[in-house]
Amino acid sequence: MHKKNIGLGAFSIILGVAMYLASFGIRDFAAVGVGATFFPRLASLGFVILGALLILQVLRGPKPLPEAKSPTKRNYSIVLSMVLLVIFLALLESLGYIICSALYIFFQILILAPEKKKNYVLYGIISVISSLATYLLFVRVFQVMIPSGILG
Amino acid sequence: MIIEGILSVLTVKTISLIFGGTVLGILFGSIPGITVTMGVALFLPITFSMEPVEGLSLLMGLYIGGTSGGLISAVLLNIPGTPASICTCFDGAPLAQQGKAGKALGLGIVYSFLGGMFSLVVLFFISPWLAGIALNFASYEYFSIGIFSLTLVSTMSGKSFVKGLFSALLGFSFTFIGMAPITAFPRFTFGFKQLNGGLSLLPILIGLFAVSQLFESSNKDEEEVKPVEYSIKGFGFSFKEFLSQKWNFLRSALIGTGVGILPGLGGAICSVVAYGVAKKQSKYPEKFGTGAIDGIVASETSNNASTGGALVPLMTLGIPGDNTTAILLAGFMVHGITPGPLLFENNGVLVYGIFTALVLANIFMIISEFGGMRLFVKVLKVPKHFLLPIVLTLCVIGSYGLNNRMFDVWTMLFFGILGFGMKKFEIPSTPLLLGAILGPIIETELRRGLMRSKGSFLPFFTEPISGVILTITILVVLFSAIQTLRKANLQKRAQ
Repeated sequence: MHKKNIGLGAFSIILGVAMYLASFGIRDFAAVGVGATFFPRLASLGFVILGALLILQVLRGPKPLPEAKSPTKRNYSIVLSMVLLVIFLALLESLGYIICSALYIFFQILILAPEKKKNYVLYGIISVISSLATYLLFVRVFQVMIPSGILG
Repeated sequence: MIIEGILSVLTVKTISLIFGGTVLGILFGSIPGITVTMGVALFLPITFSMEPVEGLSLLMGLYIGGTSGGLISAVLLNIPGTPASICTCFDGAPLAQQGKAGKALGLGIVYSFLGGMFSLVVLFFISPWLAGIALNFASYEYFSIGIFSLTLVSTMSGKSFVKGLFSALLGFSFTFIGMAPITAFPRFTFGFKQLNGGLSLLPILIGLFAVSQLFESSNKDEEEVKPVEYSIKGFGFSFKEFLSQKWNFLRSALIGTGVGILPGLGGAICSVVAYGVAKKQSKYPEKFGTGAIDGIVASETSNNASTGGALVPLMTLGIPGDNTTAILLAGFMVHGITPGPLLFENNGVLVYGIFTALVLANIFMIISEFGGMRLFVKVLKVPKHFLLPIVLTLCVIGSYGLNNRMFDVWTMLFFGILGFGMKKFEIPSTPLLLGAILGPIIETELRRGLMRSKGSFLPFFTEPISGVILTITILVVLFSAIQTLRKANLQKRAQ
């Protein structure tokens, strides 16, 4: 956690400085009292102070205990989940909700399911049925707009 | 007006919506990793096409059901279904291990109901009165309330106060994006037209509290769920046991409602406080944690009592009392209704309609938890790797349905990844939400107030109500600063 906290502190300071610089781009006039740049600049000051505090806490705090290594076995599955989600969203408007979500659910189950017992047929059935069911429920019953894409 | 309000809910459609909402809420609450907040956020978009009273009744059902549902998994799995039911595990799970799961469930359900009803009575009497006072509030008072609410970050920061503040400041900063209040010049839009209107709260919430959960779960190996066997006869406990808890109940209900009223503090903190007090006041504190019924009563009474409490600031001031009421606030807004003191004057029928819906939701909750326990336990057994992907598609529908634009869905994803990253850095995400909600209130009201006072900060302190609130704020900050220093000194001495 120590290295992470120093990184976070540095990030906070950089964010503060960047925000301060960006605040000069705000068009502003304050006839009375404070203008549109007041709070952004206050916040950027806050980020710098908090960042400095975070780093100070690490430097002045007790030495870190050797951290137990957490199992990194499934780290790749988060990245996979995120990539899958980005693809799902990118194709949503052109392919439509039904196709996209069915494919998404299928692959996401594959990523999450335990290695040993994969039942592809069951996953397929679940993904198609739940995608159709949510689409019909939301569009027909609740009248929510969902991209229908090439099927619509 | 009161009778009109009650009657407005008593239609077949609205009653079925409340019932359905309550049952779904219990499901959301009982499944660990899927929270009430998520449930209300996901169902918000479907209320767009409904009448305000129907839509809000459904959301209230979800809220009440979800707050109570957490006790099922707390007792049967020893995993809290919601953060608010953590303390229910302490004694509920040991009781279940001793073969008394029925008693633990019965106590939890009955006291959830009683706690919820108690807080509704408080809501019913306090909120019109408070709204009357708040009618006179102007910029000064709203600014001060906003600042006071920010001090609550210290209570929700967990291990590191600095990280809690960082989170709140981050939330505040996200609200700079878009038109600046009053002068309406765009800020931090980086040339993106979609950012002109600012970020919507709903995708932020869904991202932070639902999508990040999916990433979190894909990081862990799934454990197989094995609920403990149980059987309930009658209520599951004796009348004598019921009577023995009367003081504990009253105390916990007061704590739950009282803490719930404070903006930003939800059921989780209520139950921790109530459990702690019950243990301290008990004649047999050593039994707590081994299956003392007092513990279940304290936890379940207080976390459900927080529901009515959290609705007080929401309905009278337009400031949410916890995560879930933050989404309920959005639920009002999509129907063009702004909660606040004027709500009671302009939409009195709706207010009493909502009160009625809340009472019904509590009644449906106790009936369906006693009657449908088998169903809830069955759903608990459904593997998470089937549930989470489906929930995520609901998140997408929810974010898209808000404005029918993909931009909000991408916002959701951004905050999902941000929320996951924050968990990795042990930064609490609730303060971010608090900052995002209070930020615009503080900024707008400060600027409005300064315009009224011609640039002088003095009225913020000299106006009586505003002055009192700011003084309390300063005292709270000083008090917690002294406490922190004391703790640090003690730690140094200990080394």
